[in-house]
Amino acid sequence: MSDLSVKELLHQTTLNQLSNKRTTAYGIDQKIILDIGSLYIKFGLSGEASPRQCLPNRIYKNIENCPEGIIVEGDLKPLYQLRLNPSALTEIYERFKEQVKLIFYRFMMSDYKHKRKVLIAENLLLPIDIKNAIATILFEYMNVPSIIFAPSQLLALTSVGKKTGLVVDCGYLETTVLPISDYGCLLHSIKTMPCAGQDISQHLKQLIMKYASISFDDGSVFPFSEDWEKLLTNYVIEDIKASICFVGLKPDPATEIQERTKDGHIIYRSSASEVGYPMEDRRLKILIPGWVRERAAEILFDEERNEASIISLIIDAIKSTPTDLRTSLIQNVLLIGGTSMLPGFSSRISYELKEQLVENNFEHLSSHVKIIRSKFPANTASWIGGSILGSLKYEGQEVTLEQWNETHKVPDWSNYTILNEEDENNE
Amino acid sequence: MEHLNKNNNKNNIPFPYVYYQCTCQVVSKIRRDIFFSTNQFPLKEPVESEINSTTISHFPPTHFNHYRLKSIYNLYFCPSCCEIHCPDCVKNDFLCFYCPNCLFDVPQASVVSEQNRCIRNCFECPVCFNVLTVVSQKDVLPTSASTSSITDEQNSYYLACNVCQWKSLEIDLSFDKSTGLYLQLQKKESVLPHEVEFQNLRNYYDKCLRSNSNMNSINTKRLSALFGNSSSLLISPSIISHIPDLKTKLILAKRENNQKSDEYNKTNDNQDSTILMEDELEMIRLKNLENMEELTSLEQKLNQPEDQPKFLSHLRIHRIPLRVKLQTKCNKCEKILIKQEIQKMKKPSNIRFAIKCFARDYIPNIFIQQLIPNKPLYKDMPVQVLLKFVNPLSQEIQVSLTTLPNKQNENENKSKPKIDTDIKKSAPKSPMSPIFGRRTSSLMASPKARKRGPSLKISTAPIIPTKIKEEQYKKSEGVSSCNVTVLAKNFKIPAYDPLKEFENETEPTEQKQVGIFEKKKNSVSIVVEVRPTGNVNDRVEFPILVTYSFVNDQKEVDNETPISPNYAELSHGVQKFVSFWTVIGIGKIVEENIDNNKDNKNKENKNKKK
Ligand SMILES: [Zn+2]
Ligand SMILES: [Zn+2]
Ligand SMILES: [Zn+2]
Ligand SMILES: [Zn+2]
Repeated sequence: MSDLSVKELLHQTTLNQLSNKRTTAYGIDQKIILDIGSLYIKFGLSGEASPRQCLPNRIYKNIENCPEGIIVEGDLKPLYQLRLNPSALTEIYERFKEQVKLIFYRFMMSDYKHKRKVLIAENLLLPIDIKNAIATILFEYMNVPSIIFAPSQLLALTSVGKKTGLVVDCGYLETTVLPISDYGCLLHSIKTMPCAGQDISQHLKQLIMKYASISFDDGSVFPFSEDWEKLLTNYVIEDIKASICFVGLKPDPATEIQERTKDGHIIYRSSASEVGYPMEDRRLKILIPGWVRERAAEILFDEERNEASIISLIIDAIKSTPTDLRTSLIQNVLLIGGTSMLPGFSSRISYELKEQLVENNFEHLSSHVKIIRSKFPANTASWIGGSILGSLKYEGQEVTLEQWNETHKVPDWSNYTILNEEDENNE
Repeated sequence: MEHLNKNNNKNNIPFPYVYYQCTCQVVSKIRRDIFFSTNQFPLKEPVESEINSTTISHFPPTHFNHYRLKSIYNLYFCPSCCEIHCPDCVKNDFLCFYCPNCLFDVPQASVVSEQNRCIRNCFECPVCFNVLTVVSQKDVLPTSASTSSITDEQNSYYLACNVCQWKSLEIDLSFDKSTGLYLQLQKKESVLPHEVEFQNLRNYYDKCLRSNSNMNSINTKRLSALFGNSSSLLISPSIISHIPDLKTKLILAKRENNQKSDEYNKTNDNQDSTILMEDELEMIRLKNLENMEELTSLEQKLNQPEDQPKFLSHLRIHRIPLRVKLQTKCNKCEKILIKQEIQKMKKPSNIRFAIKCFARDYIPNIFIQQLIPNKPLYKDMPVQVLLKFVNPLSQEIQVSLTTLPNKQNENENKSKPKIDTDIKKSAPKSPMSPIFGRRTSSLMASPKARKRGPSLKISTAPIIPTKIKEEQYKKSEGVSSCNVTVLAKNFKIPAYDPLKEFENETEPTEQKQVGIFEKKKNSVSIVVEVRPTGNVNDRVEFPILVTYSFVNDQKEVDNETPISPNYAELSHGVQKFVSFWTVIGIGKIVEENIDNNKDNKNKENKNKKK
């Protein structure tokens, strides 16, 4: 490196440090913003325009055992499920502990001396036990000075500069619709169904095993058989979903539905192309039919299957809000969560919502349907909101380490389960 | 899937094993007991300071799994506190930050401002995450006519990956100079749409919040109460009904809506049609996809969280993330337990330590040497376990062992609890002799006696939990389903002497102690008789309390670290006691069968385990 470039570098570093000072000009220390999903943890510093990383949840080794880098191995594995049994909690606790250490020490490079506050974009339906586990780990192992919990939907709405809107969160475990009016969550109108990304993944896997085939580089093609199931790891399924699946328009029952199988699948007709997903150093390809790519996510819209669909949730939510609020809600539909990033998802919601509003005698609302356009990826919307608000001055409540030490209570810490889990395991 | 794990989850360490209970387990057990008796949470520190070999002896491990017990190779030992520590009860902090490619050190201040990435010419391949190298366009072109026509000024540079052959030209990125690439890149990238949007939003909300504090408007109140409010709301759905009258709120909100001056970005009204158009275009592109050549993988998307592009052409170059070297300190006295050498390596293959306090270098290493007879475990068929204790210290140590009281015959069990009198007799000087007597008797005492007033004070006397799991040991019968007899409860292990390492074994001349199988150099093997009493498929595993003592003969202890509360005890010539619990697991009870079937059965069982 020449002298000149070193000088330039130093200059640049000073500039950056200055601009960094600018970002903390409001006199607020940067917080660590966490959005803890079942499949990914998004983390980063407040005041930054994107999370540092979307860390997939896998089994991570003790950081003490891999002192230099980060050893990543193993398949994606959801950190938690909506329904918890007590013994699963121990595993979640241990896994989250290792991941928090990884995030703080290896990625954020922030140790107990930094005393950075933590803001958590919180899923309103997160089981209280998991919330407790999260707080225990952050306070007991990382000694964070305080934790702020903020509802993820509200944060997401701030990421588009709105104060009123209908937030449709389609993540991994569940789909939630929450109307928000003037920054107030109308919790009595929250609608949810336990069908989201995870169900699409399972459905996609079933469809691939039934209807896909495998082609080898010598040109031979075999139907997909159970022997190949081991190829379909969670990572591969998520990868297929994120790269080649999409949501087509509402299928026409007359021309696009080919057959209803006995086990409840629907085989569709589709003009979408078959795509080969290369594996094993391109020695083989999984040939995925176009209709599987197009219709894997159809279960979200299948009211018969789930006794609800994403559209019926939205309409139910609207119905339960005061009439004078409905127009402004339907004009501000915000789609968040990784699953909503499937191409065609927004259009499908928009068209089908308009259609079903008419069917439900809401013609006057139908013409107002508007999907909010965000400049941020839908799966980081809540994180972004946290980053914005976390960098500004707030007087919101928070749980401080001192409060924690006195009571060991997160907002409502009624059941003390973490250190106590041995007893529960016995039952 | 979760349900299947349920049973394995409790006790899950593969046989055979010798695992250790870390000090922090005792701390959390004490804290839990105090919580149960007082409903108040004790802080970690006061409890930690009460830990000594007596308190440890009162808290045998009850759950034998990876969460509760650790292998000796995963444990540290703090020489100033004389305590075992594990990765959960240490403090980590940073020794240095460096780039794994150029190996330059980065000061902490610029680590934060540079987003933990290297600011030299170190870039990561967005496709395969290896290092990119600078290539001059001039060098790549064939040496024929065209090259000579390119002058140095016209020459341009690009980044290329030697592993996957990706070139930055694929995303239309080239550089005028081969140096200061980061600067050049920054200039080109200064206007990323998401960053602009982010700054606008921040300014908008900053303005909102400021004006709010003056105007005291309802919105800003709610905005600033956003965090607090919401978290109390989610506790239970019933609370939803307590939300104050919505209508009045809404009327207020409506009034405010009329002064629309505070709206963010209300200009882009056509956003719905725009987003739908973009969305449909992308959908159609995917629908007609021919192959996946142009698509990014999930990993590549996650590596660029700001926009998570679907297409390779939208990938961007990122600087190489920095790495960090950690040092691990005792969380009680802050003595450094692990410190890596500052020397940095590109590959994390061989790690050297400047300081290392691994438990295996401080506490007796225990191994299962042999099972006699080495046959499957049957109910009520005693086996002898040869346990080998190796002394890693350069001092002789005195070891004393204690086991939990054995399960008695049904009748005896109903009578008063057995006190392990053997211990009293054989080790009168041991500091923790009547442990089980005290603990069991307190457990068995009348309910009145147990209902003690809350007391946060921790004494070295056994802590009596009010909500006692009286069943604890009965329950654990199913767990440690065996009777254990240790004959040699006290023995000495000679010091480790590196000079004798390669000497031939000399037959010990001294008389053999009862229960001792053999003595070699710095190791002693003892006989432990184990009689499985459980049912078929029960795990045979049992805790042993190991207390060892030594007289510190080191004249000086290094003074670099803060002095611990126990430091004084360590001074020259004072005898020091250290206690820890181990759990020894030898296998599962198999079904007894006619002789010739035995071996087959045994194999079957082994297969099942796998
Ligand atoms: Zn520990
Ligand atoms: Zn570098
Ligand atoms: Zn590459
Ligand atoms: Zn210490």
